[in-house]
Amino acid sequence: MEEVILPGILLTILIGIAYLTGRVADGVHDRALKRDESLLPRQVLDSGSNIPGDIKLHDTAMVTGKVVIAEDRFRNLLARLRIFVGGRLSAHEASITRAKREAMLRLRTNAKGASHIIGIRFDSTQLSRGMIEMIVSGTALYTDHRPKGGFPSALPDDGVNISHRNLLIEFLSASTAFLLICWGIYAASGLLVEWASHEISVEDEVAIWSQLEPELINHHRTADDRSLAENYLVDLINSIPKTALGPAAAYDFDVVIVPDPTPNAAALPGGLILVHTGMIDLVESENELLSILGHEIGHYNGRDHLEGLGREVVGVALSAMMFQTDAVLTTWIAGWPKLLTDLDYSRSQELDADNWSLKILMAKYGHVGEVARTFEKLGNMQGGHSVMDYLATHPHPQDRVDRLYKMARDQNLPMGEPVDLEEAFEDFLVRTGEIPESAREEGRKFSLTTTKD
Amino acid sequence: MSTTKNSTAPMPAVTVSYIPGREASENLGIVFGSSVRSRNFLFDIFAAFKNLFGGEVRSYTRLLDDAQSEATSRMLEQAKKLDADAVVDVHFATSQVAYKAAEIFAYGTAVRLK
Repeated sequence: MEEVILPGILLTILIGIAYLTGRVADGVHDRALKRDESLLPRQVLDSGSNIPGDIKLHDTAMVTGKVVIAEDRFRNLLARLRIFVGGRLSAHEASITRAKREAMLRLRTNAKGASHIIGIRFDSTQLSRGMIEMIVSGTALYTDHRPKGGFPSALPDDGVNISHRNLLIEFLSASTAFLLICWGIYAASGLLVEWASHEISVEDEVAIWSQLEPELINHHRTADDRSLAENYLVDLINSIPKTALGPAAAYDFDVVIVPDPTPNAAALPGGLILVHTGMIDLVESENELLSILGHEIGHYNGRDHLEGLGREVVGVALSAMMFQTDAVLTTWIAGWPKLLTDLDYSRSQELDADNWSLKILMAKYGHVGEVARTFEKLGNMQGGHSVMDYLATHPHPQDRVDRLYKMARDQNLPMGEPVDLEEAFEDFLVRTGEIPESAREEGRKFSLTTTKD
Repeated sequence: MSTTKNSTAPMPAVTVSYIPGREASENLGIVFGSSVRSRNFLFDIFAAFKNLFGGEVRSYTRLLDDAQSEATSRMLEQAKKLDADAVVDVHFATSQVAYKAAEIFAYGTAVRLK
């Protein structure tokens, strides 16, 4: 949650500052324009190229007026929301009109002493995002003629060219429309992704994923590439009776141990399970470790890993489409789908995965001892229930502990003695010939996280 | 000298420097109108697809159409404020003020007719 709320607040403050400074700059520029325009001498301005016949011409000169005006961040954002939704960009209208008046003012200042400026042409380009360049050019005629009266002294009032709408109201309506559209797309794509993730077979998933991430897929990693601890974990998964695995039996599982102190594990497409060293340090028995792995295998059975990934892709695509290269916004918005995914993962899918964990433990050991031990520890680390639990990414660990024990009771599953993790690992090392049988009697300790190859 | 004004008739706007058959009596200076518009994201996506196959991008043509008529009517509105009879030497300029948004800018010289 924090990673979304905090930058969100910062971004709001930044945009608020941009709004205020933008308004101040607007006002200052507007007043300066009015003052300078009123000081200009009278000149005949003509977008045509006819030199009046009734005047005595002394001299001609080409004159230009140029200005580059930058949009403030607030308007920029507003414009982008508006572009997504469609319609008139009133935020840009005001600044582009001021740019024209300023360019015209400079043209006429440059043509000081001229009575006519003919052949006036405007040209504007976008220099970079939010920067408008305006060039106005013309031919100044220096004559005896002194224009008087009439209106041609200044560019006419800009009231016509600007839709007078409050920018904040405009912002609110545009962003509401934008959010509704995004939500609609996201919900629709969520349904699509859910359908697709259940339709795609394990073989197809592995085939697709091996194209995308060849180095992560297990048939590119042999036992030699893995560390001893990883080999042990793969061996542990393969020792589960295939019938207990459900659809996930089709995977050729691989485990990667990630050096990260937070107790966590994740299921990636293609049967790749990530386990943090923090999780391995937390578990004490093989049963407990398998309950975690079984939970991840449960996610494969629920096809949850594909759904989450699909949604993330949709979310990132959506934000990239909207904000293109705006780094701050894109990274902030890209965080949203991930959060939403996790939220979605939580309630039903996590609990389904817990069911698989129970089933797998039962099949492997004939009892479900220690099935909830890790959650108990996590619960103690996290403390009691709080308001944030309703928003948290996972169900509160203590709830899962209670639920797992209740399920075990309901199904009359026995609770047995756990297998010590270090002993199990040593058994594995002896079995695979990594250490001689004698090493065990010497009392050397082998730990999963400290033993490297 | 002065003509009877019909307020319901549209003010003539031409791209040459005179109104055919009439003579200008007074130059009132530059008038302009601009319009910045965008289509919504759906049209943007359609346009991107169209870019694959080529051909006219109708949704953007309509965008330019709308923007152009708005810019012209805003220019005429300014001319009306100056009590002009016509706008001559009208030019159009387009620019991309923001990604996927178009500005159409119309400007000309407001004149009074004899």
